[in-house]
Amino acid sequence: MTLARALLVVLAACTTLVVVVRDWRPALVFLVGVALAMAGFLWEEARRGQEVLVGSGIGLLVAIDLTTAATVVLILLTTGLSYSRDFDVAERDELGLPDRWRAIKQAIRLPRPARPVDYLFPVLAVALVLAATLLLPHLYPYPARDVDYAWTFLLLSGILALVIADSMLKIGLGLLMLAFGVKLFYLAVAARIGLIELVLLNLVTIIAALIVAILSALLYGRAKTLDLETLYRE
Amino acid sequence: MSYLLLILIPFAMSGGCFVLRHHTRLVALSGAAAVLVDLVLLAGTPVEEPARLLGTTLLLSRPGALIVAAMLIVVLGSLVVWVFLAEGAYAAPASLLLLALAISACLIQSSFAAALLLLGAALIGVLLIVDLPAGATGPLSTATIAAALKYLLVVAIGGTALLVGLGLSSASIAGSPFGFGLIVAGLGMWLGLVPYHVAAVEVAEETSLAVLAVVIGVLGLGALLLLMSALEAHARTLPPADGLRRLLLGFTAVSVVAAPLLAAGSARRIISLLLLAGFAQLVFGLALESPDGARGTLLGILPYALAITLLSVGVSLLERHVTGRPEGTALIHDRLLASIGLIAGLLLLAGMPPFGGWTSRSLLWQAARRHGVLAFGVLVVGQLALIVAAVRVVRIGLLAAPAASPQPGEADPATSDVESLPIVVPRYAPTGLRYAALIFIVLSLVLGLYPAPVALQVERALSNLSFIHAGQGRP
Repeated sequence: MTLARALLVVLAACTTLVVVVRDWRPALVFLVGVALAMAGFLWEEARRGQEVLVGSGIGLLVAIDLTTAATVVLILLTTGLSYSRDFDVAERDELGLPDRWRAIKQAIRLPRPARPVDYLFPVLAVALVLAATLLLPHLYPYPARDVDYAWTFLLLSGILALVIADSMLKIGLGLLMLAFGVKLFYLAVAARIGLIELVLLNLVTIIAALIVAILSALLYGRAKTLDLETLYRE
Repeated sequence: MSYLLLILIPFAMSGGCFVLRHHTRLVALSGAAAVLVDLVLLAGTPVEEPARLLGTTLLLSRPGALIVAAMLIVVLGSLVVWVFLAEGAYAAPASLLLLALAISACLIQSSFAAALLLLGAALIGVLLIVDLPAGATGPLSTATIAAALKYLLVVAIGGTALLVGLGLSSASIAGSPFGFGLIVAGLGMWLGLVPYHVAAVEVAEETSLAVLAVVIGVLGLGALLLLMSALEAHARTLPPADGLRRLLLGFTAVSVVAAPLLAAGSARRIISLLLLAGFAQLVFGLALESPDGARGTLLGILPYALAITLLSVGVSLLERHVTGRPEGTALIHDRLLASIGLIAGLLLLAGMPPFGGWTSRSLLWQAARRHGVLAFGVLVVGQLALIVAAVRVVRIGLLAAPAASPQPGEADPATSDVESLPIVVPRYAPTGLRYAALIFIVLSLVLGLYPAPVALQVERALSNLSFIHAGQGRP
């Protein structure tokens, strides 16, 4: 098995788990796996001989990629811990640091209960996405490689995650998967990776995470939960 | 240097406005001044002169100059409204940042980078939607958050389709039909074409029309330039009579007809659908791929920007509640200048003389007639539906008397003598904003009565559009 094929398997597994898992905490961990697999693909693409940013090494590109991934994961983690449904600001006696730590620990300890039937629809949907991933690259105007299957699966899974999302954090995860997919796509098809494009890709990813954090704060301020059904209930 | 200044002026002012964001009127005034400076700078900026910046090429094309001018007018209109009617603390800084990103997208030559910049601008637009109005107490309504979320999803998925389409198209010398299809779908979402119009309509209902003007207007105008670039690229690669171009034509034709037909309900909802219908007509002109069609589109860009501005100013003035002002009569009698502004905006959208926009509309009709009976029929039906919807806005918004008007016979005897005393009725709008509305009305009249300077620019721009010449003579 080549490195690209191994990375594809890791990326597909992590992406599937991000979509299927209902709780945002393990999903965020799997998103880190997606980001690491993406960094591996970037390394592989550079080794393939693609012209990358004149005057800068591949190490810098990977570092930028990982820094962005770490930033957005941290933004989502902070958002999730701050606005988790498992504790309520109103129930706390103060907003001091010790109290916040206690609340964060409580949020980490209390995952949302899930039934096996909850996983049925996401698993079936991921199977459909997998089938689409195998078919779509035949429409591309060049012979498909492993990386093409990777970004196709990542993008379709991102859209699926947005469609089946039940909380604002899952929306955030879906958006980040889309952003990662677009970045991987650009690295795969660009004849020469441009500085502006790379900077913008990373900036847009971070802005998307920040927007999700802001919307989460607003929704939590209004409904004391991040569940999307509250948006349509009131 | 001029290109850099065009970007940096709104960008720097956005930073300044963010620091002083709690002085909402001051920052809106500063922002409006910066946009005016940018407009003056644009008039003196050389076009079609490439410049290098950070390894990429910047170039202001002639169509790009028209679109940047339209963006500046739209943002200027909203900022002028916010000078007098305070919006949220982040409205001015976010609008200026959005404008800076959109102008950068018009200047940068890489379509992929331009789409990324517009995507960034659209994401900033989400901040504008959820910005709490000044003086608001309590959290934001869930309906507003839902509207922002829908807009975010449409923009993100549309942006992804667009970016992948652009990348696939540029990955092969022969072009990619699949890539072009994705571009059309992505731009359709960004332009709010039917059936992707729901998010724009909800945004209109949940925020002020000045915010909608910035969020929808600027992104739509930027997307129009991207569409021109995509058509340019595909004229060189794809066969001239391929089904994808018919797909684009059909897609916009559906919006031209369906958007005004769907325009029912509240005045804001109807206005938002009218704006989408007006924009769909512009895109339809491009999709016809004939010189007259493209000429009509380019000539219609500035009137469209003025229409958005007039509608946002007019509706902002009409919706304003003034304490102590009796509201017994229809708004068209009570708030005359605001009503004229709204009507002028609707006439601009409908392409009625003497307001600017009629030259563009007549060229579009001419191009459609040459293209075929079906295209002409689409424009006729769309135009009729648009006029009917505009009349509906006037009936709902201006002619209907407020429900809570006091009855003459129900006066309280204890206070009747007090009521008969002369009272000072406050004005419905600050004098400055009424003057601003008057200036925009006069501008739209001037553009309609003397379109020659803009027409000259359009003729020069047409010579650069090769996809028109490629499509010339096609049935």
